[in-house]
Amino acid sequence: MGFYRTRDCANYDRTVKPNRPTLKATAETFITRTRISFEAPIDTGFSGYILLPQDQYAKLSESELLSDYFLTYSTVMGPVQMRRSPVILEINGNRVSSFVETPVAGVGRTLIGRRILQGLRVALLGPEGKACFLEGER
Amino acid sequence: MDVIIRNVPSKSYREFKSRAARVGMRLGDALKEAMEGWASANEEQVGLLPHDQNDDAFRKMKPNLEKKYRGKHIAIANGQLVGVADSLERLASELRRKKIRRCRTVHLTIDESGEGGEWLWGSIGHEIAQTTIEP
Repeated sequence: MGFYRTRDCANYDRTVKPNRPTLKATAETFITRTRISFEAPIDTGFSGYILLPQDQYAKLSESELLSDYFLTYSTVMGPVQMRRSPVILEINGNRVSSFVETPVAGVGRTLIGRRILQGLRVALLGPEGKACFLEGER
Repeated sequence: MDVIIRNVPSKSYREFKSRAARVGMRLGDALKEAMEGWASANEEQVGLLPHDQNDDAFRKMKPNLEKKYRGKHIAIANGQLVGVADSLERLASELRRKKIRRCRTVHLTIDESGEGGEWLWGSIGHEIAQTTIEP
């Protein structure tokens, strides 16, 4: 594994108990360059991209995918279909082409899913209450 | 401007008029406020229909589009193909040039349709647990 150095740590969200790890991100649309910044809880149980509440998603949905390309997620409550829009996602200074999602039915919430997390080196320091980006080893 | 609205249910009209009078508003002012409130509340939802004419148009065009534009990013607006490009950035600049601000898009290479995986509702479970444990 090697050694990694932590940098750009974000404090856990202390408004909930137990505190939850969050990451700061900005999503930008391709056509009008509309930008929305948010702090999203890390959800390793969500295999998708960035989940947003419907009102925030609407502001970023100018080039939404056709509905044949919406993804359906299995949940304990049954299948949930998500609408999906391409965005440029900026996390930790890196800009990548990605997607924001929101449920077709229901209001949604803000979460960072595993399709985003798999591209990030992040350490969760529970006792310190910090989520940190890592650098060092390749 | 003046407008005439037909087929307003008389019960709804009477109730609306009576409520306006109760707060000291003229019918026209109350109606104007109600219209502006409705438009503002629904502003964010414009374009957020789960299925629209662009989906129908795409399904009809899909076999030809996949044959002709495989690997490209395409945009459909008002039921018409309005843009084709090698990348989303180039597609977006083509759309900006055409002054198109809202459309539906797809990348005709990546078939990511269908199953997205799972969502274990971890965050919701967390908050339910919190309200149960906390006094």
